[in-house]
Order: sequence, then C-alpha cells, then structure tokens
Amino acid sequence: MPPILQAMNLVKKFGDFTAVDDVSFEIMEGEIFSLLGPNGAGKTTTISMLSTLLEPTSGDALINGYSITKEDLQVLNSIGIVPQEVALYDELTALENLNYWGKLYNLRGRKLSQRVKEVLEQIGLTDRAKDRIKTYSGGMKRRINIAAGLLHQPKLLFMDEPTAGIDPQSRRMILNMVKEMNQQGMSILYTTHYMEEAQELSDRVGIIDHGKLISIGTQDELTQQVGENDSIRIETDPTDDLATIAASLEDIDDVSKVIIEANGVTLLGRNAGQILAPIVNRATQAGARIRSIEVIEPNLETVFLQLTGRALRD
Amino acid sequence: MRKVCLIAQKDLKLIIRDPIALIVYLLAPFLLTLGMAAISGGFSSGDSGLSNIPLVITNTDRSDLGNALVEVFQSEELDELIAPMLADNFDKARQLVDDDEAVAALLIPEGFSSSMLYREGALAANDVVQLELYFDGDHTYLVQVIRTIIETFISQLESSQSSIAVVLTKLVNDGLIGYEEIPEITEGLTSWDESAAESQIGYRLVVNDTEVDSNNVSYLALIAPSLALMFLMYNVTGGGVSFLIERRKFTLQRNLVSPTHGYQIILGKALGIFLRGFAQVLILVLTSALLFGLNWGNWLGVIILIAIATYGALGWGMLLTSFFKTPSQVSSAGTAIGLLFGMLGGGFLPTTRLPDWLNTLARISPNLWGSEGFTILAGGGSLADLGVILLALFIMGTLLLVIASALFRHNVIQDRG
Ligand SMILES: Nc1ncnc2c1ncn2[C@@H]1O[C@H](COP(=O)(O)OP(=O)(O)O)[C@@H](O)[C@H]1O
Ligand SMILES: [Mg+2]
Repeated sequence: MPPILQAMNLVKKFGDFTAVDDVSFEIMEGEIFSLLGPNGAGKTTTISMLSTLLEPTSGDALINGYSITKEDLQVLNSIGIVPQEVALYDELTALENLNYWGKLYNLRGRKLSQRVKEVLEQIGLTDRAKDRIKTYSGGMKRRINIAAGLLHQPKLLFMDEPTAGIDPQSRRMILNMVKEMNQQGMSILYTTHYMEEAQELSDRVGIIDHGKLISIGTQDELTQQVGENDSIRIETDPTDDLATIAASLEDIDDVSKVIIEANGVTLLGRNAGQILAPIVNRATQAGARIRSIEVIEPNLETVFLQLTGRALRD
Repeated sequence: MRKVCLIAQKDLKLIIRDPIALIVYLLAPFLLTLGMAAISGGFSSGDSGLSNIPLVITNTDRSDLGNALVEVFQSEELDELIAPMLADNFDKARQLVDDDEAVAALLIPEGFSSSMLYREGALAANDVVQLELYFDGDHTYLVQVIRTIIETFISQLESSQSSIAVVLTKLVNDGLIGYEEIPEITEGLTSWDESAAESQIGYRLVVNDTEVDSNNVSYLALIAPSLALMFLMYNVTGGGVSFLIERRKFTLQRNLVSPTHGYQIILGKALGIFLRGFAQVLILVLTSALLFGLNWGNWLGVIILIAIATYGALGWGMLLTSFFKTPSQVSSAGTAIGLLFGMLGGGFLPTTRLPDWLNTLARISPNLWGSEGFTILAGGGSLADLGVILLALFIMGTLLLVIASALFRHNVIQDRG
C-alpha cells in the first residue's frame, strides 16, 4: 500500500525554540499510526503543520499526494481533524454545530443531513442533538468534537489526544470508535501520552520527545530495541530518600538503569527473577520502606524509559 | 460567497443565542438615545429622575384636539413619566410653575381644534391659535420631554392623513360638521404647503415670559449623529474581539483547517460584524426618531450613509483586531480609538472649537465624515449630496480592510501564541 502521509524533515521553530525537530515518518493507507510522547513533546505542533495551520520552518509533507506547503486546499479536503481542544460553538446545539462544520466541508442538503444523522448515531448522541453544547458533559463534548471531524468521510483522520481528561466510559467508546473507523478503511494519525492507548490501537508507533522522533516502528520492533530488559518498579513510602536508594541499586549486576519517580524508583535490567532478592536487600539497607514491587514485561513505557531516562507520564 | 454568508450567519446566530449580548445589543442603542436626550437637556439642572414630571394643563379649547392632547398626557403610557394637573385658567397654571409646583404649564387656547382643522377655511383670516408652553429655565431637560410629546402629537396631526380622518369622523359623529363639508375640508388640508403649515402650527414657548423660537430646539439633533457614530466604532471593535475569542476557543483554527480560504473566513466574520453594527445604529436612529421625534432626513440617504459609515468603521475595527493578540487589548484599544474618533468627529465638542490641524486629522475617522453626512441629510439633503462623503468612507473602509486582511494572515491566523 502506498503511504497516505509522508512527513519529510519537518521543523518548526518558535523564535529560538525548536518545537518540532526534523521529524520524518510515513503512514500507510489503512493504518493507525500513533505519536506517543509526553506533554510538550511537539505532537500538536506536528499536527498543526500537517493540517496547514502552521507553516513549517522547513521540511514538507505529502498527504494523499498533495504538498502541505503548496496545495493546502487539496490537503484539507483529504483530511479530517479532531483538535486537542474541543472546538465547538457552545451556544449552538450539536445539530447546528455539525451542520455548520459539514457545510464548511462542502456538504449540502440530503447528503449533509444524512451524514449528520450517521455520525450522531455513531457517537451515541442522537437524542441529545438538539441541546446546546454548553449543556454537555466533557466526554460528550469530546464525542461531538470527533463527530465534526468525520462528517466528510476523510481518507485520513488526525486525532490529537482525543481522550484527554475524560471519564472511562467515554474513553472506551472513543477507542472503540477509532478501531471501527479504521476497520472501515480510514487511516488515522493518533496522538497520545497514554502508553495503553498507543498499545491498544496502533499498527505502528512513533515515540516523540522534545520535538524529536526518537524511535519508530511496530510495537514488537520497538520493544525489541529494549532487548531483554524488563523493568522493575519499586513503590516506597513517599518520605523515603529516593536518591540514596537509587544510588545503592545502580551497581547491582544486570541493572542497567535506575530512574527516580514520584513515589518510588524503576529499574531496567535483565533476569529480573534472579536479581529481585539483592534489590530488596540493598534498598532496605538504604532505608527504603518498600510498599510493592512489580516486574513489568517490556512495553512502550519501558521503551520510552530506556530511550529518554524519564517516565512517560508526569 | 456561500461560505462567507454561512460564517456571518453563524456569528449572528451566536449573538442571538447569548441573552446578555442580546439585551445589550437591543438595549444599548435605546439607552444611548435616552442618554443623548439627557445630554441635550444640557445637564443644567439637578433633575435626575425621569418620572412623574409635574405638568399643569389649562384646556380652554375643550374641543376634540385639545381634549385629545390632554388625554395623551393623562394616558396610561405616560402614567409613569408625566404627572399632569389641570388648572382652569392659565394664570393659575403659571403661578404653579413660578411656585415650583410644576415644571411647565401648557395652555391649550380656545379655538385650538378648529384652528388646526380649518387652516384654509373660514378661520384662515384669524390669527392662528397656538399652544403655549410656559416654564422657567431650571428644568430644561424635563421640559424637553414634554415638548417632545407635544411635538409628536402635532406632527402626527400634520403628517398623518389617517389621523385627520379619525378626527373628521369624530367631528361628524359629534355632530360638529356635516358629511357634506368633508370634501371641502380635506381639500383644504391636502393643499397645505408643508412648510407654511409648519410655520403656522406649532406652539409658542415662553420662558419666564421671554419667547424662544420653537424651531431652534434640538441639541439632540446636533449631538445624536456624532454619538451614533461613536457608538458604532465601539460596536465594531467589539465585533473584532469575537475573532480573537474564536481563536482562544479554537473554533477559528477549526474553521481554518476546513477547506475554506482564509479570505472567506475573514470576509464572513467581517460581514457578521458589519451587519450587527449596521443594525445597532439603525435601531438607535429609529428609536431617536420615534421616541424623540428626531428628524434624520431622507431615509434612503440615512440608511445608505449608515451602511457606508459602518463599512468605514469596520475597516478600523478589523485593523485593530489584526494588530492585537488578546480580546482585552482590542477592547481597550477600541475604547481609546472610539473616544478619540468620537471627539474628532464632534461627539463632545463642536468641531469648530478644535484647532485646524486636528480637524484635518479627523478626516481619518469615519466619525467626522459620517456626522457631516448626517448633517447634510437632516438639513434636507438627498443621497446625491453625499457623493464625496460616501466615496471617502468607502475608500477608507476598503483600504483598511485590505491592510487588515494582510496583517490577519500573519498575526491572527499563523501565530497561535
Ligand atoms: N505558538 C507557540 N509559540 C511558542 N511556543 C510554542 C507554541 N506552540 C507550542 N509551543 C511550544 O512547543 C512545544 C511543543 O508543544 P506541543 O506541540 O503543543 O506539544 P504536545 O502537543 O506534544 O503537548 C511546547 O514546549 C510548547 O510550549
Ligand atoms: Mg498537544
């Protein structure tokens, strides 16, 4: 399959600050591609460039064969956008909002009302359609926010952290919707800082941090980069001296990295089963009051830890 | 064009949906008109409340029109506003004014009704019977209110054929005239030369026994156009704020990432702002015309002048919006420019009191051009007399909008900060 999106050396600078630093990746037709990275990594800036809202400082991208810097109208006709912030008119009803956005995408008459009806059903808000957006809960607003991006049945959909800060049911519903739309053939660029979401949804993942795409591949490819490493998370009493504890653990054989977190430490290392005993001993000697220990198989979180030395969340 | 209208329509709908905006939107021009009336009273007296204005009426006419005028003052609509008293002779009435029991005394002299109706008939040779309003100089504003009511009453009699018909019917019913006399009377009525009628009807104003020319009244008429234009400037810069609010709420970005040209979005929002500015000034003009009988002149001319002045002001509003980053910056800049232009355009002082160079500078404001236009219209000018003014405002608007659009792409649309 040909790529539906090809980002080539995208750079965005705000003054001296480089928000997106030489980012290149491809999305194949029919694929869900996630950009996984913490807040401030440059996900939204990347999406803004791809959707022609921001002009790249350098670099370009082809979407559906059209250049984002030269053929913006064709690009915009090919994509749908679910912005990170709920971008709806609060004083209008859901129906009025959808009609408005649909018309901006050149839908009219029968076709428009048909599509509005379909997306309302898809997000399960048909019976609330005549209420004003301002009366909606956060999760419902997010669903309408998504619906507005789907009306014109784009080939490629950008979803910028569509689940940020909402209740578990709405989140579940959105994730299922993403999968469903993908099964119907829509390609999706999904950004998130939740490892679990990237893991559940993505065919391929790009890990982004400080504006740089630091690794890219399928989940298997990425976790193989971590090699044999497991991660071991030790939760301690919040008042413990984590620096001392971390220092005492660093020289254990097979421990390759110790990362201090909010309420404990995480170690990367091999043969987790065999080194658990010395870890507990050393940590206790260093004054740790251990609350729990957890051995985690390699996953995207571990990959991020390994590559950046920091945890994804926080 | 379809999308331009779509966007404008959406903006207007948003105003209608916001109850506070709507109240402000409808009420502001109305209140401003009342404010203007207050200003035109000259701030000379300590009168504060606009209610229960004590008025003493002496009706020696005791015929239809005289009674009708008394009824107007006693009517329920004016219940709050006017507290009428009756005095059976005018000396008594005057005494009440001198004793400060009433702010004015109205004399409806004997023969008033017939004088009004038989202008060219049998009574033509007689002196025209005039209403007389007596007041002292302390309550000019309150007197202004009373005068407005009287003027409205008279102008209705003068202009409306239907009200004449009503009067005639009543006269017939009361047996005062016969049916056969009607054609003769109406012929007399329709053959009035309007200006002649104006000079004959009307009424005498007596201030402490000094007569005042009743046509040289209205400070309101002088000041209203300038204030209307100042209001327009506020309003239009306020509209510009909606641009920045949309950016802050991310709906502007969503508009921009739809397959819609940037210029369509700018034009659509500009059209929305234009329409609301236009409507508001129109409300103001209509209120002042209906409520205070203000004569704005040729209606077609007035409407076109409002439209073009709104266009000129829109240029400034959009330029301001394109310069600044936050709604509050635009608001304060809008207030500053609104005041400055208002001053230059004669909103506070007659422009003749300003130095020449300021008067020249004032040409950059839509206010000065606009007030000149309104002055021409109020003085009986027609659309054709507005040529240069309309052209100037049109060029101003277009120039500013072009500059603003260019800045917009750069400042508002590209930069999310
Ligand atoms: N308009 C802007 N001006 C200056 N800095 C910006 C602007 N937009 C984003 N940034 C900065 O660029 C970085 C990346 O932001 P963003 O793309 O929003 O990150 P993410 O979406 O991954 O959380 C952040 O440090 C942010 O503060
Ligand atoms: Mg973001």
